Amino acid sequence: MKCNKIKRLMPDFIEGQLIPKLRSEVLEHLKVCENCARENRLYEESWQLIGQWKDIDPEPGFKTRFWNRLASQTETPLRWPFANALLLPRPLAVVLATAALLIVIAGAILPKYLQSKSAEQLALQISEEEVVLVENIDLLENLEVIQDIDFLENMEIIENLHTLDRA
Amino acid sequence: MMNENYLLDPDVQLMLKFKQGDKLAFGELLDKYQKPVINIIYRFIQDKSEADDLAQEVFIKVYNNAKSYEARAKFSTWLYRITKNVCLNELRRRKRKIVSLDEAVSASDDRLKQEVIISGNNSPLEDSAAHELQEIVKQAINSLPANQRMAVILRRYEEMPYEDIARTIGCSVKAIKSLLNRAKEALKNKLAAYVLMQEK
Repeated sequence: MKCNKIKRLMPDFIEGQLIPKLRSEVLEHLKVCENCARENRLYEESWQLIGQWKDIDPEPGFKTRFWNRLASQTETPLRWPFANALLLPRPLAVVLATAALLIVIAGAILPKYLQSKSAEQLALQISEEEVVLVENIDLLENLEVIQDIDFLENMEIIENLHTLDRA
Repeated sequence: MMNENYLLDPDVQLMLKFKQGDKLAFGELLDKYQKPVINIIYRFIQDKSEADDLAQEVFIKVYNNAKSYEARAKFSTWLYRITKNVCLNELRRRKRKIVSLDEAVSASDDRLKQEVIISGNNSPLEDSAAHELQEIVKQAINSLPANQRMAVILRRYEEMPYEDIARTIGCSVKAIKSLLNRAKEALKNKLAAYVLMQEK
């Protein structure tokens, strides 16, 4: 077996993870190849070396601190009561609450806005109509004036116009 | 959905009892797993005091998620998966915040990234061979990428089988073997000088 293949098998070999046939082939190769034997030794000893990093023990009072921390967690007033009630995660509850608030605000403002818009349009319409009305009022006033004029008196004046010019 | 095989796990039984309201069952799990959880975290982030705090966070998550617990795996696999996630979250938090105490440069990153080894419990005057070796090992482990580091910790120190490591980390057994092989090669290269010095 070639050295490259042996080296690829070494990580599994040092942990006894190879099938018996492959393990035998590696062992046979290591007997005759100094480089691979050295490489295998480095793999084995480094893997053993890291095992010398010993465990630490929990700090005294770990369990007491844990139960105290848990108790303080449950005593905290619910900051998101609606989220808990609806069994929603907090970010989703925030989004839904914000959306609800916007809908309420929109519901309050929108009708007034629309009302003001129609009022503006109405105002524009009235002013046009008012113009027409004013014009009509002038005519009406004039009509009254005309109606007050003595028709016969005017006719007399018109008929005598030519005499006024000669004089 | 519960797998009936996992119901044979005594720790799964304890967790199911706790789910029904038996706090003593949770206490038993806490007693059994506080040390391994602390050590997984300690070896991953290499900060003893923070490991204690984060381990409590792990158990608080276990406590709070009891009602939704289902026996889909061994209890230890499920617990260590939570532990792994807490470790990764802490790593992300630390990358955003540089703490200038003891520092080590990670060999796994091309950038000059400063990773922190907080060694508050080690006396600066202590220079025994065991301490020196431990520091060398810590630096070698710390130089591994996060996923390799976790795989090595679970394999070398918790002696977990490949299948359980795969479920904990969330990938295939083949991927775990590949991960571990790359980690072993990196550790071999990192520790070669020390090993050769010891042989002389």
